[in-house]
Amino acid sequence: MNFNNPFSKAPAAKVGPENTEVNNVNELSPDMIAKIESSKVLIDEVGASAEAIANDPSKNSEKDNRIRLNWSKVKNWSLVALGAIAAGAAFATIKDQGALTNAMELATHLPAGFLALGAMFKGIAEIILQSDRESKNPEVSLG
Amino acid sequence: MDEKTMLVIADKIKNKTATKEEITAFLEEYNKTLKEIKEDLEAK
Repeated sequence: MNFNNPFSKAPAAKVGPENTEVNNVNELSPDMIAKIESSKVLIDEVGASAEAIANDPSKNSEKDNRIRLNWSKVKNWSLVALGAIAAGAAFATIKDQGALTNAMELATHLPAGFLALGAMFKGIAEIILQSDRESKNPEVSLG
Repeated sequence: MDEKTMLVIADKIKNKTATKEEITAFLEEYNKTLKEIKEDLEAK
């Protein structure tokens, strides 16, 4: 992943312990990048199955409901971080694919420091979009 | 970390005002929740 942003300008120097906002990619530590990479792997591993359970009313065991709740949390955190444009699509049955498409678009245009986070959240949006396509066309499989 | 705090940090990430510590804590809770989902899926 290329984190260099030729268009970024050096930030003005700030002083004080409160200056810990992450404004450019160079401030994302290796540990944070590693955590984001772990998130992306986990989303790939569990997202499709969790989304399928979340959308299946017949799945209502204690574990199913825990999966449903936790997946709802992850989606909501992701979509809030992506912006209000996608937040409304997080909970509802997704009828407006445009909202999620916009969210994915937004994820690819996040400032340099958040490209890695954007890629992580984009993974969520892609899973939701795929799930929505399947609900409208049962012949499409999650694979 | 509670749900409200996660949402507050998510909003800060959106607005590019989150601190390193907040993003790190956010990612830890994010991954913890995904791991719980994975464990539940594997336990089936």
